[in-house]
Amino acid sequence: MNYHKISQEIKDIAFRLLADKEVELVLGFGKEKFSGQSTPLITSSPEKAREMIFDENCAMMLANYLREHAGKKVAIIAKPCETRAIVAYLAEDLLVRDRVTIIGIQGCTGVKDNTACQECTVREPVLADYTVGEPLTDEVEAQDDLSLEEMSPQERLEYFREEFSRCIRCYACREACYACYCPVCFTDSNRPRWVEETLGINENFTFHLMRSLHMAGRCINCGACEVACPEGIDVRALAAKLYRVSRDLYSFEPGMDPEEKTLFATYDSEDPQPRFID
Amino acid sequence: MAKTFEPKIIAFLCNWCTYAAADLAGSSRIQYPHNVRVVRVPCSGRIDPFLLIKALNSGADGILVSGCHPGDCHYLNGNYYARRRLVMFQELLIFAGVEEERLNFTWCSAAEGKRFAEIVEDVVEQVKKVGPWKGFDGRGFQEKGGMVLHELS
Amino acid sequence: MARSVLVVGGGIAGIQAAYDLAEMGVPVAMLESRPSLGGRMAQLDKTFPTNDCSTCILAPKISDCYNHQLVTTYTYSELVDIEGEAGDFKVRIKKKPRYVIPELCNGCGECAEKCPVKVKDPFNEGLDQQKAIYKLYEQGVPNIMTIDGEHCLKITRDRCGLCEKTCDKGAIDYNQKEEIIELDVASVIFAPGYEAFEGGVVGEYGYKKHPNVITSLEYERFLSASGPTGGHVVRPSDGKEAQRIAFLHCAGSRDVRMDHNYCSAVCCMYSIKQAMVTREHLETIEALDLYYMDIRAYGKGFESYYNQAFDTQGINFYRNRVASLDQDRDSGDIIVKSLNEDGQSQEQKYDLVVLSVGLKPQPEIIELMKRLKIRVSKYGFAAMRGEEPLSTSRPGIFACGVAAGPKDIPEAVMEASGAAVMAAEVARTDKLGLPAAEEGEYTFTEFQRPRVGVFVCHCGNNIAGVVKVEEVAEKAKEIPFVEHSEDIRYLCSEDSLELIAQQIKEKGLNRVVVASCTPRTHEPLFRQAAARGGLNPYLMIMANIRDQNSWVHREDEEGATIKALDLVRSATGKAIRARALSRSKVENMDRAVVIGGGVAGLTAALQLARIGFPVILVEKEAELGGQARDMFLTFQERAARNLVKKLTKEAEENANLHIYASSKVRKVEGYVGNYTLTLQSTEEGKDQEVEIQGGTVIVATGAGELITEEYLAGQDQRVISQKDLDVLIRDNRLEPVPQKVFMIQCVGSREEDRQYCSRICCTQAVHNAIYLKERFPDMEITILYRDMRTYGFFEDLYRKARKLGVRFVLYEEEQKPEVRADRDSLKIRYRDLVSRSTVEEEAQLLVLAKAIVPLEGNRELSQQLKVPLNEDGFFLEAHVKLMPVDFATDGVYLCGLAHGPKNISESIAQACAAAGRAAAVLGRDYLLTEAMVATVNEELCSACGTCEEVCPFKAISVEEGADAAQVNTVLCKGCGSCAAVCRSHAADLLGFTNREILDEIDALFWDREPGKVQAGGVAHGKDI
Repeated sequence: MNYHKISQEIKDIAFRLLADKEVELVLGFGKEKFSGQSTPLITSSPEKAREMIFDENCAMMLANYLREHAGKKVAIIAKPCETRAIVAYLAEDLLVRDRVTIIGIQGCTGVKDNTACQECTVREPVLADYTVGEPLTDEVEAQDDLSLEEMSPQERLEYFREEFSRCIRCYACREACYACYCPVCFTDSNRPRWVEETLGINENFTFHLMRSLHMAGRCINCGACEVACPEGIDVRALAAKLYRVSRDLYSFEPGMDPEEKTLFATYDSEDPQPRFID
Repeated sequence: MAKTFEPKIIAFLCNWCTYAAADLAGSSRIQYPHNVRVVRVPCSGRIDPFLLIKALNSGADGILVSGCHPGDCHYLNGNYYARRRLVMFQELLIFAGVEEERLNFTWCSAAEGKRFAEIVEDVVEQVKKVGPWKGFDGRGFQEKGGMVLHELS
Repeated sequence: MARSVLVVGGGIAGIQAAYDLAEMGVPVAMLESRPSLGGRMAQLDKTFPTNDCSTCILAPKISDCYNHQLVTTYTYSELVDIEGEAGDFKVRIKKKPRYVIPELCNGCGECAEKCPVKVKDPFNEGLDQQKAIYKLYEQGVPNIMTIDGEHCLKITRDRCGLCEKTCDKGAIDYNQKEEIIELDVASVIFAPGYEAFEGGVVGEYGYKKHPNVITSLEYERFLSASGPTGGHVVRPSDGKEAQRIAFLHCAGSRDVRMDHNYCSAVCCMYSIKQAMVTREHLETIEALDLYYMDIRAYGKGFESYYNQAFDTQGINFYRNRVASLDQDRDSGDIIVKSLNEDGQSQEQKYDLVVLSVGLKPQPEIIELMKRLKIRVSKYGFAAMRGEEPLSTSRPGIFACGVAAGPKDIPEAVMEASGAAVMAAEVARTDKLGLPAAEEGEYTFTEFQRPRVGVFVCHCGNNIAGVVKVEEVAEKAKEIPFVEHSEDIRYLCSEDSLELIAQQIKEKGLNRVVVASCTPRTHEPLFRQAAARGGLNPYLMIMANIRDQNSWVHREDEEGATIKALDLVRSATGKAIRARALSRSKVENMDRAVVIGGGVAGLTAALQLARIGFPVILVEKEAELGGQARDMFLTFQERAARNLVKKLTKEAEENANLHIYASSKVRKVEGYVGNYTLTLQSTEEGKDQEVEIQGGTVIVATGAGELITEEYLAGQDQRVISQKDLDVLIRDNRLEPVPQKVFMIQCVGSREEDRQYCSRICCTQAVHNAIYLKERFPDMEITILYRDMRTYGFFEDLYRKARKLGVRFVLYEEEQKPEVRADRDSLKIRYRDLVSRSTVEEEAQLLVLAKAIVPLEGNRELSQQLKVPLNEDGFFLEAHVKLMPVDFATDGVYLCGLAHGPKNISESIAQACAAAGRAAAVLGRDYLLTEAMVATVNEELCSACGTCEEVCPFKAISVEEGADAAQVNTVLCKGCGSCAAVCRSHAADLLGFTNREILDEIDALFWDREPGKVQAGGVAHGKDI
């Protein structure tokens, strides 16, 4: 990917949209001053928009910020996975289409330190008003990570116990996820108490199971949760499993069509039930 | 003295079909193992998978969910929606390492009293095979004990 | 209020009629000759075309009807006599002795276990045995025993008496005598049902002689999970699993020899169903062969069901005439000899042969009707007139279901609702309507610390014989929040109920746990007991320790006792979270809006106006009458036009009825009890918007005729439709009289894009052909058809047409006839199946049976009313079997062609049904919501709208721009789908809240104490 060229195109479009008052706000990435990393740059100033960049460090999901700005006319720099998040928001009626201007990045080859990018099949924007960069000419090899599937159930149970034993319940995974937006998370619910706040393998395990159930049919497998985890826990594995189940059993992949009903909002009378008792 | 393992299985049954089937097994005096504890719900569509996780967290050795056969739902289509959620739940928990034998889902009509008894028998046998559920942490339930009563309104 | 109505028959039709009447506020006496309600439907395993479990859908209906405050049920009773006239009948009922006191018997069945006498079980068609004291079937309502007086040793020979000794409730009374009861009723509805032909109806089939030849009703019991073989299809001769099964259609039907020349209307479909269900049971089955004359899949959804069966591997259809059945002496196999379409003989061997026997009236009912001066048709059914399909010849007496002719369940249900409204018209004295029960006043307990009272029932020996009830009651005292616990011999007895009420008051209990039988039957009773004690009834929670415990763990006293205590804990867990609930009142308008002014709409509107409700009738055209205006030969040669005239005149004169002609619905808002419709009305060429309001809406928008160019339609004036022919005949314009006439059936029906049968065309074609043939005997008429679907009594017409010399030629979908035209004549090429050659013939007139198609406007109206269409584009009812005129959305009803193809009589019956269903709502001063409804915590709601998507009743929604979902409690039925999909747990279901269910689960484990209880559940054994 030619990040320089893409960054230039982004700057131009963002500047023009703000200067012409077509949008009130642009969500993009800027350079972190010291580390050389990227950071969200959300601005209403055309001048400031000229500081926007895009490179392989821009791992964060800017789409997460769309909900809080849902009332305004906003433009967003969106990686293909983020366009899916936006489509999923539209499907859940959380955004109004004509209030969002999508500047889609074409030919995405993934971001740094995100294992999900290796499983990604969506390399071009699903929905965009402007596109930047060049579409990929070759098929990119995408491979599901099935290493856990090959283990025995007992091994998997041990694996997750080990992983979740490190969880400090900072909820960074939750915060990083585009699809986590309940006004009150079940973790904070007292009546009833779905999961104890205390740390413990049982509680941590329960939390991650419940969180991934909430992602069922909604997770776009973007990997933001995994990137966000300070403990390096494999927090994506459970939701990614459900992503695969949804895709393989129901041919449903969220965030591809704003008109399509979400997985649990519809059914087919011939839906499979592979492990049910006959 | 060693005791044989008698699992507790929580069965979530819809009011209109499977709960009626369980009643029919009763009035027909069809015998089955006592290990099942029934939670009556109006429809299999009422079942939030969180409730099933909580059942395992409470200490159930296995769960059984059964509603009206697809197409027979008293509320027209509750079981169709339920099916997707239950399938996803089942796949997730098996992936997380919970033995498949503990996670039982089926449909059973109000006329299938005998079948209900057979299902229970089968499920109990399966769960006995995999042994007690020791929780996601593997520590068993003996340490928890007592009454975990949530604060009242 | 209103005077009473007598409903004769407690099958599905009788139940529906009785329930609808009661809901209209009309007191009902319901009569059933057998000991339990349910009729034939209770015997069925599954129902076509949805393969619904029969019991699952029927049982709730029975219970609603039986428990209705205005329904008095007389089971095991027969009608003796009716005197007087409409509005003032005196009826005499014979109550047969049950030898059991209904008030004391709780149907536990202990007596039957002890009874030494075995007799054939009639419910299972004699395929197995029952005792001389019995329940007709396990789920039977009322849930009480009956002694078979013909076989009981005590009654016949004054010996035995075991049942009396077993029953410690003292419910046996050998001295009961037959009783005659006299009732005053205003009107009577006949719904006596039918009996199936005997298996021996066709002598050649060797029923009884060959054990492996059985009737379809016997087969149905084989299929049933609660039948004699537990759902296994086995051969009676040797118990071997059947691998090859033949179904012989029309066993006794369409057969002049038997005096059943009529078609029994349901056999094709039930045979297909039986084949499909068998295949489901046994995927590896070798052959399911259906021998038929015509497949009459004419009802809604039937054709695609047939197609599905046709495409199912292992199910084969043979249009063969069966010549004989022989038994292979050694194997018991049945050899079926038949002639195929080409006249060649075939021979096949089967394990089992099922005779698809037809429906006929019971001889005693025929006798009864004759005695009551009710006109009976030549086949013994009540004789009805086309324009009044629900009225018998005796004023004030109506008939529904198979009483008036063979028909399937949805039609029987429709007629029942229709007959109900007609009877209500006779019975009403002033405004109809069910007076709603007032909510009781209860002590406020919501925020008090729970004080639970536990009551454990012995149920005589039923529970106490297995469970150590005293121990359970004692241990229950240790459960948190339990303030009181005791065990009682029979909790359902009057003094026990009073005791519960007393204890609530004395001990200050604010929650009650009743550990006894199943809540499905006894919850209402114990709720009332709680209410008597001043407690909100929803604070009573039941633990089912009989049906799901002591009865099923009889050999395991310890296990059953542990379980009983667990269930009491669990119920306590739920009880402490239980909330006081109530049903709330919602404003209700008594005005109905009927959309569509054809025969169906007019009938529905008038029927409602006649019983006193204001009605607004909306018609898009300037003139009322719809399709029927152009019909002539439709029924019994009576002009439909006259009917339209009569109805229109009455509509214009009825003060309750307001007509908006030239008006279209533009917008619909609101819900049951409170609809607002915006109409676009054209008056004197000017458009204007009108707003109208009503409590219910009836959709009667009709349908259209297919526009096609197939077979030169619309291109050559010698090619016309059956409807056109009808008009030509009416106007005497058939000039010049054609010499040769061809008719082609199924034009646009039963095809890839229109997979349904248009139902009326076969009869219409035959009807028109007869007319022509009688006027012009020399005219040559050929009807090219695929299956001749002259169902029911229309079979007589088919026979008559054949007799008159009308030629019937089969064609197949793959080889349709071809038509070309030249100046002199039409040339019709078709494949003759008998001669296996292609023939071309001339004709001067070609009449096409064009499909009935749904209106284009259906889609818009369906969106406005938020009701669905089926895949063919017709409106889709809530349940094809048991709710044929209701939508899932309360307060909206459906009738006529908008629902699907049907003839005028059927439209009229369905229109009456829609009126009946609507009247039950319109008559209420206000509507009551359910108590257990969804609720939304707005603070938690993220307005994602998933709940709205999954709600089948449109009861929860996120309005445009709203931050939270809202529940319309009038529409909510309490299924809880919304609660289950709600990620933020904002939606919850009262009565089954997350907290209730969670503590119901958690409480199961409250017995675990540190150190004492080991992992899993290893040691709960000795904790008690």
